[in-house]
Amino acid sequence: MNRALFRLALRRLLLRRRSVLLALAPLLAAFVAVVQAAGGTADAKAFSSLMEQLFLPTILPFMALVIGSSAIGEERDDGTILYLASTPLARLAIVLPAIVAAAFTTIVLCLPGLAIVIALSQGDDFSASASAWAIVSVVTGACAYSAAFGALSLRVKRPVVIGLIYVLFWEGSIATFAPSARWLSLGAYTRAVVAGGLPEFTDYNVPAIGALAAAALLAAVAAVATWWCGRRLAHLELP
Amino acid sequence: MAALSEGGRLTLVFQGVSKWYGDTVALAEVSFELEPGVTGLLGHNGAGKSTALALCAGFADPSTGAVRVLGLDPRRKPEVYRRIGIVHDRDGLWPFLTARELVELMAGLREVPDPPRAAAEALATVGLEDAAERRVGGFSKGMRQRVKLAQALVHTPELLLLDEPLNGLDPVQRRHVVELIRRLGAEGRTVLVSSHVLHEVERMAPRVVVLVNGRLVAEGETGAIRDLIRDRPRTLRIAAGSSAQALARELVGEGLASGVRVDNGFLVVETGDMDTLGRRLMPLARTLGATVDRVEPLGDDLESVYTYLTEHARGRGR
Repeated sequence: MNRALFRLALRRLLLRRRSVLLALAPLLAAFVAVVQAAGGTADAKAFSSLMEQLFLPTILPFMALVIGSSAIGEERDDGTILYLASTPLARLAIVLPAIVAAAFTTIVLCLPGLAIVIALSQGDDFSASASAWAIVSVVTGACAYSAAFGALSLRVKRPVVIGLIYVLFWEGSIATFAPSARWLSLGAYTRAVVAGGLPEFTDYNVPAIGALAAAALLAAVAAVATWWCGRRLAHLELP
Repeated sequence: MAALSEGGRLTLVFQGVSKWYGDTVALAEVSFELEPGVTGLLGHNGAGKSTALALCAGFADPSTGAVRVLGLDPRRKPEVYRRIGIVHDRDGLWPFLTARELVELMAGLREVPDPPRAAAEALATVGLEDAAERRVGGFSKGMRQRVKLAQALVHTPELLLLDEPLNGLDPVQRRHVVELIRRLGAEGRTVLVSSHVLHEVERMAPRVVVLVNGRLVAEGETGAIRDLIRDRPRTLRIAAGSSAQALARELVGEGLASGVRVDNGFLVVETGDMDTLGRRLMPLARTLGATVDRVEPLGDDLESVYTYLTEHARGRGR
């Protein structure tokens, strides 16, 4: 991976006021964890609920949508993609650092909130395994969402709007009552990963798939979406 | 038309290229070839200059026809970008990078052996060495334009595609950049520079390609195109008061006007020989005892010049 482009994308994504505002979103889950701990309701079930009903279906996709769609989409909108396109690099080598940087930024901004949730929400039921699966779900979910929303930004003019419709109406609504739709929901797979640590408490619209397989599937989505971005950039007509 | 392979001195071949977006035709059957030296790409706003440059740069596919840069199709062979430098008309730059960081980044991406040294040289070439450590987000339009030029030069390309490179520059900077472009051409590089201002192109390009509404209407030495424009039929409006009709008769009788009419008390004269009319008008008026208060050209704007070139091209059966 081209390190200069990775650093460029990181600076672009992190060095802006928007990143500070985005970093507040995971703290909402942290606030709930603090309330749980203070009220004595923190346990494995509370942790599972917090991850599967707030962190994974709402906070993670929202952050990945904003960051992932801007990683490549904003380069195209402001014309800086023209400078990257006028280099001898393979087109995949141009999009890969941007998507990796988007996933990295999403993970970094999620980490403080996630750490507080892991530390407080489980209470006396603290489990290293459950904590590890929660981290894996956020990492693989960030990669898959960032690549998918990056691809979306190369396909449509308003990726954030389309992405919100996907997250709210497909993942947040249809996939919750139509079992077959869960198989086409990235959020459902992130929940399947976190369920790997707490299977006894999980009944939140998770597809019948093991945690490891769900994590592998999210990684595969990230890889295919990144490859598609490279292909798309090669054929895209730049303004 | 030359074969589309790299050979001889041809750096860029644009062969029968058309480009349309939906129902809008941006370029129609345009063909030209570039050899080392500076060539101006002239046309009014919306004539198709930027589309032509985007196609040359490999940022778009032609709807029909073919573009070859240094013998390669830039859409399929990105390695050709080691040998091309491009100044885009869009203003977007990474605002958080300093000028040095930006030019060095582009040098590195284009696999220049010593990016810091190459960046320093390129920035010095465009006169930005003193602002090298400043962030481009705080730059004026002229400084941004020079950063764009520096990143296009940093890998010493054989072909330079410059879209309106003088935009936003003050007169001193313009003179500097014009000199630079001429020098690049003299060094044997191929430079295609777009502009909508003929006299600007004239100062740096001995050869010009003129586009009007997506069609190539003139191509050749800049001086010849200028003469063609200068010698085109012109229309003048003359304020001659009550002597207008008498003056009109004399102008036609002397063969100085190809058409004359009186419009709202003004004499509107069409002539194919502006120089002679200019010399003879006042002596004729004196002979008639007429008073000429004002003489002004009509239809001398750029649009009219390009319209004339279009009609001239059609007359040649283009």
